[in-house]
Amino acid sequence: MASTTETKQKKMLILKSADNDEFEIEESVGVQSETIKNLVEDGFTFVPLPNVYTKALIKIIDYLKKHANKTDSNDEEIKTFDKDFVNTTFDDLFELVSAANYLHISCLMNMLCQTIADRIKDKSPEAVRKIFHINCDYTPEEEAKIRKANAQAFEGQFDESLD
Amino acid sequence: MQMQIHEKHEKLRDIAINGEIEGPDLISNLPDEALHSIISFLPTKEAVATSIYSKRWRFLWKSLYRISFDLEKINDIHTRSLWNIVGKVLSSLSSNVKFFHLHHFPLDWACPDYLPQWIQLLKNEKKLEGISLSCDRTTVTSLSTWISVSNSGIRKSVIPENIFQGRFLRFVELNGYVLTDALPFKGCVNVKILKLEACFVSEESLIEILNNCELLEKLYLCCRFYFSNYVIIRHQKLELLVIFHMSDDREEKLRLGVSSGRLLLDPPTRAEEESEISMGDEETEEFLSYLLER
Repeated sequence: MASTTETKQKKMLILKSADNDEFEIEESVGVQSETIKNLVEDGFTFVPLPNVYTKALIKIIDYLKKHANKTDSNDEEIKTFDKDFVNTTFDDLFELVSAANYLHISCLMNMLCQTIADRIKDKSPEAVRKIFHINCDYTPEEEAKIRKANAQAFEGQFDESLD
Repeated sequence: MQMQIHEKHEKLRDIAINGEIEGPDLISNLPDEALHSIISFLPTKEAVATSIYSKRWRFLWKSLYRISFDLEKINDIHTRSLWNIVGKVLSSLSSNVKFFHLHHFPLDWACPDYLPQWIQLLKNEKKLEGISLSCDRTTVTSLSTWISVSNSGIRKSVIPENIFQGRFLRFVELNGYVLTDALPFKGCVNVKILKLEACFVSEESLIEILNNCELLEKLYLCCRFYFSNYVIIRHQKLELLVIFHMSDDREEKLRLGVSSGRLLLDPPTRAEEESEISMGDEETEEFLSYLLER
């Protein structure tokens, strides 16, 4: 009985970002992150997140709040929210992926990775290198060797556009 | 602070001059786990091709945990080489595979034991949790030929017996198959979610399939039943039944009722109608009947 009343009182948590900003959220919102959940189970109410910067943390808290209130009726609303959430630049997506990975929020992680993969899909390796500024550090000989090793993977049509 | 920014700019300019790189390579700085996850959402052929980006990317694909191959995208001449790449990729993977998707042609099952071998490998060594097989129908001109092809010797027992029996296999999805018997489902006691899309299923097969899937919790149907027009399903564990109404040339109407009298549903008219079955007494069997009216 006692535990029921306790949970009804809305336990709060404080999250501290890498740039030292503090955010207070409900425990029920926070525990969607496995990392936070583990800390909460060990009795922590103050959670420092040295790998998550304020900018990403604000967005992630938004996401967690939205998804904590999931019911059958707001399904469409959440879908719209998710769609807007990932409609951002690659740089933002990478920062979010890195944070979601650290916080172990699997549904968010899947959504972000799916989004990034969809944008890379069908692009030629050369186009992807240019888009992400990937510096190819293979020697021409090494590159030829890798292409040969999995030749079938490099066959077919590619999209060369950089958007 | 000023100094730091200045140095950073200098450094970036150097890189830009030397390697024609204009910005920082943020994607390659992501942790391995995140990159594994990203490339797992790519078609596997493309995921393997990421090895060419740079040294950082060379072996990332070996940790793919979702595998997805589409044999249709490759010309007939190349099919064999694609088979090679599927087998090669699967045997090179260092991690467990959660999900395997394959889109293939009807005759692929009749060819050498490639498909069963891959699936066995994934089930036994990679702890496969979900499988989705999609059979290409565009190569067969009409429905009747499709069924006769599937019933003829060429495709007799299209999918091998016991293929969905796996210790970790929880999810099975079939698209475009003709299921004349339930043999592929023999022993698949661990499957919790089953999706049959654009499949042709005889009522006996469907009942037999469900008998095999003892722990089934969710069933998605977008099928045509043939031979009979009345199917009764009894299943103890089923929690969710989703019927996708298949609109096609034959204009079949599907009506669903629960014979225990607790639930009666109108025919779903929208393409994605979801009906949650309220579970009553856990010991009570759920009775569902499907009525097909022509």
